[in-house]
Amino acid sequence: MPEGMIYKKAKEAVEERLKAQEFIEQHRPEIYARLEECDRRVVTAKDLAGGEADVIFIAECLPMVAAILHVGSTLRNYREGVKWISDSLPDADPVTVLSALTFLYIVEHGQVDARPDEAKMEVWRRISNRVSRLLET
Amino acid sequence: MSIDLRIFNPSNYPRKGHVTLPWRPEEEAFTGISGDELELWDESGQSLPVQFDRIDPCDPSRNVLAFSLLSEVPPGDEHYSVPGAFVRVSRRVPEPPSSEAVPETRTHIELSNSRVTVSLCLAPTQPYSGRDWFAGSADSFRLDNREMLDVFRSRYGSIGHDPEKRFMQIDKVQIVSPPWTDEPYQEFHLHKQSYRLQSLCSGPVRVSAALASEPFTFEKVDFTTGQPTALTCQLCRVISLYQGFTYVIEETFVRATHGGRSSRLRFAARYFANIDMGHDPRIYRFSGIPDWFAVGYPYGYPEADHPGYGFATDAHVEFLDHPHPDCPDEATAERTYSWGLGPRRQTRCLHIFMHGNPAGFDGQTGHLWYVQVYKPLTAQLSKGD
Repeated sequence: MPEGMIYKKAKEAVEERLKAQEFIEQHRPEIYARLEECDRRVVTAKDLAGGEADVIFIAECLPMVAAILHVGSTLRNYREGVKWISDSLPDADPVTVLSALTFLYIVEHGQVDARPDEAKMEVWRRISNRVSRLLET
Repeated sequence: MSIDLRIFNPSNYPRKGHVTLPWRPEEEAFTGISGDELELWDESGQSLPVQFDRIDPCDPSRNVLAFSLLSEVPPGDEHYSVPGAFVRVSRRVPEPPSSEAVPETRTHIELSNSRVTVSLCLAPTQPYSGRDWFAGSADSFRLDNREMLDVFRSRYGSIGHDPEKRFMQIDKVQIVSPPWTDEPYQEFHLHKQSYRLQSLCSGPVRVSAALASEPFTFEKVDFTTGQPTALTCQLCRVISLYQGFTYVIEETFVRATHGGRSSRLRFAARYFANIDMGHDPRIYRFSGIPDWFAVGYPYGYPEADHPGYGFATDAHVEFLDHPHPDCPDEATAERTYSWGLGPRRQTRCLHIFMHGNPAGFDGQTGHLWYVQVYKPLTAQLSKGD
């Protein structure tokens, strides 16, 4: 799927199905700080290959992002999101797909919000690449 | 003359772990050794961690000896007919008792070991919220420093925990009436009744809290006269956390006293829990296996949170409701669970929270039911030449 299309799907998942954008908006500083901190940790860690750094980054950030499905969305909206994914991708684990789309949604907004701070933009470009590689796997 | 404990392993594989047995005045008279003076040695001459708990300082018949087997006991017979090992009992200089004097005014206590901290509410009212329905519950279970009652919210420090979160609450008991009366049972709600802390025991084997509910009155109709007799009852619970293990074991009974005599009544407990296991968690409960169930969230990326809770008992779980039927708040109803046990004079239950092994919620709970509830290691006192 083209990258632009994926981000469109992510927006639809978070805003129209899970209706979790309000929660993400409220907790944006906390979420951003956590992602930036994880990125900083893997960047400064010694002896980490690129792939390993991505895996560690994802392992540390994913629990927080995946938790949005439960604390930022109601049961009804969660079910709506799961059904939406199941209808279009019957062989996929809908919760995994929703978590990945939520991650992408946050990363897209993080990149926008980082402007015009060049250093932050660089951090968010790195985060975006890490998450993209997660999706490729 | 030597005094031994015969150790029984009912499994067809080697096992080690902790063992408990009563150490009442009868055992003290039989051995001539008081619980405070006990020293235990296994067959290789290794000294074993041991502790003597005065569960109820007013009732020596509830005294318990708890010890840990450090070496594996060979496989044995499932009917406990053949001992697999022996532990030698000897006398040592008495140590200070494991039970501490407890002030009557405590409203909250914590039991901890190296991995788990459980907070128990003795009073119904939470000081910070004013809610008054928490008696006999645990409002926090921290496993490896993570709050397991509210795993997803704990990822967001700024939200704060759900103030309704709790588990292990016996909110209601039904006392079974004698067969010659019209009503099959009498029901008592306990979620707003304070508990009194009878003892708090800690040692190298476990930390235990013995609780007794506020007295309530059960009216029993006398068979011969047809006249009602008022029995003063208390729900008594012993909640134990063993060193190095992450489950909680609970032993419960209803003590009735009348005219200076006490007895244990048949009762059926209903448990209540308000825990966040995620949206649409999976419930692992199999027809034909009424002794345990598990709830967990196994979906999504392996790196995400997968909380799980398991319950095992020696009384059958007769029903499990999710959400709890009387929950007034529709938005949070999905976090509520209640389940009822079949009537017993005494129950032994196990509670465990799990994470990091989403494929193993049912297997872990079922295994713990087998080793800790259904076929625990046991010991029997014997005297040799």
